[in-house]
Amino acid sequence: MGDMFKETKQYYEKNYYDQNIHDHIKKSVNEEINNGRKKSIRTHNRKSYYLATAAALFIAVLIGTSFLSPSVSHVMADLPIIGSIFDSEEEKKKIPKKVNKNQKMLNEEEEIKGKLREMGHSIGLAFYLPYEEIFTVGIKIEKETFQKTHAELEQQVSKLVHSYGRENYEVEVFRYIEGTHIERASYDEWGDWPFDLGRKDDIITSYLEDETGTSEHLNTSIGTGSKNGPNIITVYADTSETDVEALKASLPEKLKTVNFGTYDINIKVLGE
Amino acid sequence: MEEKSVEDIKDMSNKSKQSFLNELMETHAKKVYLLAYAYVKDKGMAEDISQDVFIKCFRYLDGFRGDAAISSWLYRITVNQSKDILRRKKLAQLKYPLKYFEKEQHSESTEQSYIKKNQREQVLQAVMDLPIKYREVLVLFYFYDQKIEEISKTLNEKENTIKTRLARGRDKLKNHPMIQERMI
Repeated sequence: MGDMFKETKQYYEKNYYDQNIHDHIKKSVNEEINNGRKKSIRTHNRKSYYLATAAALFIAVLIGTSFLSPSVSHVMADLPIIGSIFDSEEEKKKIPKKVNKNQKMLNEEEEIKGKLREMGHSIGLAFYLPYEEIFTVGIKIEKETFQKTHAELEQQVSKLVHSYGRENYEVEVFRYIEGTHIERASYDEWGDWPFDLGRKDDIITSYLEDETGTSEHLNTSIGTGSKNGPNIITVYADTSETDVEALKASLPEKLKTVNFGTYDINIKVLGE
Repeated sequence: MEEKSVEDIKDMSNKSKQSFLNELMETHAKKVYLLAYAYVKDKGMAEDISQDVFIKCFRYLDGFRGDAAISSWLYRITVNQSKDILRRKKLAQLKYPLKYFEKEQHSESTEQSYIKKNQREQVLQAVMDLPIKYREVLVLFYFYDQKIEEISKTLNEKENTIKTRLARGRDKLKNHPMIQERMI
């Protein structure tokens, strides 16, 4: 059975991937980095041990890869035994794990929520994201009101969070729209990989659901824009489950958000 | 892992990081893409996922620790990202590739189709037709040469769960009409 899989693996790698895909991925990633977002302030505020270990890793990785050309390492990675050795001796790194919040932090969250309610806000969710050093708040509010008061809301929340001695925390305030994708959000999801990307996707998808007035959750993914262009949110439609024409008709060309910028809307139809 | 000072990391500019990322993409983009494809079975989606994986890699490079291989880390992000996409899109059981296969069946007999199809393609399609929980384990085990322990970490499941799924996945594969003849 092993030989059968070995052959299939080689077939899969040879026939389902080509230079065009490779070039496209590299180009898109580099464009995103070169033209995309500024480095977050919170990155600079990370604790020194993260930086120190990262430094060690970078050095190890650079040394480890310097004597191996990409083509050689590529070929080696294709060989089952050599590949695994190559991987294990190559750069060694690990994903950051979700931070378990202590009781003090959980209590603070409840207190902040209580204070925000006292201020008259209707809170959908509000919690710390310790890994990213962000306090995120979803407020149930009308779109127009949110657009007008967003900056003020962030100031209010920021003041509250800082009053607990967490000056290093950024604040993210978004519109919590009931009956949309956002209702599935929780710290379990947002506090773990994919961190901000998943969170942003959840929030923006809920905005888009609100725009289209759809009662079903949209299948979306946030992608990168072209060079100097806007970001893109792709809506996936499975012909077996979706009235594609109705969906297309309901989607706006662009989605403007006060806290995450503007997104072009694309649609990908699956199963045609 | 030897610890370096904060000064070392400060010396590493974004440009150096990007250069390092390009090395990583050169080496691992293929594996990342094919792993994503094994989940979503859609070229465009697999490309989007690969792109997201490397962008996250760039963003969170500072936060990584060194007790796992970079490939394992990339695979774990890929798995998470792929599952996230599938969960959101309710496409956990993508019927998409099967539809293509069904179209072929309309134009020619199953037998003819099997003969024409490359045997490796048959095995691959049989793997791709498995439910995700078996497919991901088989793909990581046979196509990515990961050990049970590594798969356990990549998928965040217990080792015994992985062993069970690997065994059941193999059994299911043996019973798959496209592979049965080849196996027995």
